Amino acid sequence: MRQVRWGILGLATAAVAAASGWSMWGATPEAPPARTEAAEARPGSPADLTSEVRALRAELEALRRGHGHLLQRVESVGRSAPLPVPEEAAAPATRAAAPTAQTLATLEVAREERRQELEAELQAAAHTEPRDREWAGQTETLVTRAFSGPDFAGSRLTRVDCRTRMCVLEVEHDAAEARAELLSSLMRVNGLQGQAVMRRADDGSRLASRIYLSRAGESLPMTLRP
Amino acid sequence: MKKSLSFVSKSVAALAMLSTLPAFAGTATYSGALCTSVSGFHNPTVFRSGRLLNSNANTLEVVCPIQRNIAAPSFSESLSVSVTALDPHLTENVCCTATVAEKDGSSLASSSACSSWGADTANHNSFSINLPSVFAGVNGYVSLRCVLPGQYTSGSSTYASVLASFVVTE
Repeated sequence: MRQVRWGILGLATAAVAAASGWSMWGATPEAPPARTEAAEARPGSPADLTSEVRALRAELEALRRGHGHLLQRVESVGRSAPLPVPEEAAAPATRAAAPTAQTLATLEVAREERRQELEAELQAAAHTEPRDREWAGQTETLVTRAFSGPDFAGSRLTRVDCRTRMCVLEVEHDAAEARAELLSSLMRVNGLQGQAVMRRADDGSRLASRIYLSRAGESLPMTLRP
Repeated sequence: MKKSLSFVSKSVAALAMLSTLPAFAGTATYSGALCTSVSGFHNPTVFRSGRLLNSNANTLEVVCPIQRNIAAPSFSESLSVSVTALDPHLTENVCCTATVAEKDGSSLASSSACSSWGADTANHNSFSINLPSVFAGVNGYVSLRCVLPGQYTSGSSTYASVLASFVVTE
């Protein structure tokens, strides 16, 4: 009985050994890659390091490609980025060069108000300034004589009132042309080289102007903003 | 190539930003050659330097255009013109008048000044005119008119008055 047991165990061992030998022999042609992989996959082995280096190189290549794409995008953005700058910078200039009708109307209202302020200042000075008899008399005569000359054809002096540093002239015109040339003609008169401001004082169908004229070399009493 | 494009685009941007500057007040210099005679058949002599001379025996009157150096809404209320001239005449002066007018030519304000340094046959000098330009509308314009004395003769020498240039500050 003991011999039988040992015989069965021996057969079994032989069968196992045969089976394992057969299996090892049958798998041999297909096994090398698996064994190689198993060998390469072993941590720390040269094959593992080679594989890792290969993977890192692939990753580095991918990173380089990505970096290249990013650089291209940055450059393209860099090329297009300045474009909005001139548009933004030019926008105020465009608005300044071609303001809207509403803006112009607002500006014109503000300018007209400012003009009235300055004229009120001139008017106040004309009323309050003391009279320099000598200069005022000479200048009133000079202005009156000048209006009889050919340069003032079409314009009539209706009133002249001089003070110390300025005179107020009231003039009627036959036509707009005469009014347009009046200041140029007035400034040509020797002894009247100063500042002059003219404003329209039309009365119905009558063309009229009021002129504030400063003493030669003097400025009109206006507080101008810088 | 990319660097060139980048440089060009940056230059365009810089120029565009600089182009906004004229929207603000500034100065501009003009040569006397821009002026035109309004003295009938008396024409000025213009040198290649751009200086304008009165080589006639009679007084010469010229008108000079001025481009307003501002844009809405950056209006300033005053304008000054500095005229550089040669005035060799012993008894007469170079006199200029700046005028601000509406776009149809209607004068609104004027200011004038003359050379007051006496006769100087060798050196150019300057005098200034201050003009209240606030009276002009949005499309109003400014012009300068100058009167140059006729040639001045001293002994065997003859001297011509000169309008060299003018600087407009607005």
